[in-house]
Amino acid sequence: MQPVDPFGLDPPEGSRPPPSRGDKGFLLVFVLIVGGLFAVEIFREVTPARMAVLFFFAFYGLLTVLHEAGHALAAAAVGWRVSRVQLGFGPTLGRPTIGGVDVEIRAFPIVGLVQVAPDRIEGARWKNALIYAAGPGIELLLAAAVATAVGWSTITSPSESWAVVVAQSLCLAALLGAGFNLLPLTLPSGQVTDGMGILRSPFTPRAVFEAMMIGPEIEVAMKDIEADPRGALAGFEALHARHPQVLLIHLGIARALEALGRREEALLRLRQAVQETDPDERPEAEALYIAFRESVSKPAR
Amino acid sequence: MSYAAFQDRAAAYAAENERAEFIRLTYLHLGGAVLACAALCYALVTTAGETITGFAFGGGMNWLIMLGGFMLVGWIAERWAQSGGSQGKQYLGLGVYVLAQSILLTPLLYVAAYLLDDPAVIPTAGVLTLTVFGGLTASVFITKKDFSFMGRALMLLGFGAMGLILVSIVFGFSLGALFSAAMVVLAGGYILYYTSNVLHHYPVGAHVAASLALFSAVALLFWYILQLVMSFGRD
Repeated sequence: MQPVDPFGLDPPEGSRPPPSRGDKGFLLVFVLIVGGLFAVEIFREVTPARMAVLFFFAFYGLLTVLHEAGHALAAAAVGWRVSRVQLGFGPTLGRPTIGGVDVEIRAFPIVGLVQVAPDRIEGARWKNALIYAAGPGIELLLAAAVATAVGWSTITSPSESWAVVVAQSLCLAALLGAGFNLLPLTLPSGQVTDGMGILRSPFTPRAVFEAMMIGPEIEVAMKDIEADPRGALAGFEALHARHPQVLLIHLGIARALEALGRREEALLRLRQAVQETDPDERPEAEALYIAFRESVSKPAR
Repeated sequence: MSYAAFQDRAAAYAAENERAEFIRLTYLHLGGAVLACAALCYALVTTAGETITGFAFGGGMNWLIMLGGFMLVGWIAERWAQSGGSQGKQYLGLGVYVLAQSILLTPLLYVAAYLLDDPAVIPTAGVLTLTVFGGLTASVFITKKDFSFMGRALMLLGFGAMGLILVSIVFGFSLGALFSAAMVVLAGGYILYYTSNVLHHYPVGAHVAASLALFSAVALLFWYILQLVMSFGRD
């Protein structure tokens, strides 16, 4: 089985035409046929083993919440700011604020995201690794606690008991969630799994943590570019004086210069910044420069 | 070969001749991959079929290990196939994926070829797969319909199918013809989705990765059509 777009070729969200009513109808029929056949297959016989499918999916959703909570709690414990939590994907069902953090609840809770920012650069690498490890860690701890409570030999043996099957389903969902997240992978979207995050943390350049630290300030200045490019430029220059290595600030400066009609200067400054980037960040920086160069060379629509 | 690098060259916006060449190359590579897979399956079934089948269906978690191995190798191969750096790496990715898929298909083909008393099972499944694939492909090319809106639904249903397969192996129950039928419909959805992406969205120049995407859908379709044909044979 493959996830959609495992090949990283798909156009980004929003670049496709929205589905028509006919498309939505077709999709509904398609989902009802496949999902209906799955359901009939599961309920062909009502046994604890077959119902484990339902328990497994229910626990997987709940564990996604626990997983992201693990990241957020670990971040708070080491003094980092949690700016945003996203639970699931698909249509947004609600945006509550929990403990001062904006939480976005989506329809399908099988993936999640926690946005954090360090309070200071000191110790950022190991703290980052710890935050990455906390998500799968909390799932593994829960699985171990359930297995200990039920008994390790019981949890690993076939059973007709509903209670044992429920416990086994929980452990399976926790092991699968933690196991997949601990595989060191970079996804086609550019995001990394927790395993890759843990491995990369000790080698992450300081500038990356600086960028995370001042992320909200950069975001505000970026939003200002269109309305007040001169003010945004001044904001970026002030940030640059404090954090000269952060590439996003250089991009902001370039965008502000471009908005002021100083296109050549924008390209030159960004090019210089890319050349001075840490070698580990160079490919990403080069890609950023190329994207910027292409965006400024396009005629306005 | 990331999407970002080619976003102005998506098939639908490329020049007519560039687009035609991209589609021709994609289907040429798909044909090559299917033929290579058929040859590899034949070689594996006739030389190592008993060993591989014995391991796969030998109980315990063996089948799960094979599936997990396939997914991991498949993932790596897909990443290689989509890498824009070297043409050699892209072909290596396609080659490794085809090999992994052939190993995964071997146990089922071995059972169909040697343990069922019906020599028509594999050819029937092959012809049905070609017919369904050809029909769906033709419908996309004739109508020029963009099925990219199916992406999320396919991902969710694919996740559901993976969960069902995993739980059935771990909890020791078998999935029957209804599940196979659902998977045939799902594979059909993947074919519509990937074919319309070839026509409208995939960047020209990404024919190796595009053919791998289509090949994975065709292999999925064949697997479950074969299961269905085998189950009807048993009935």
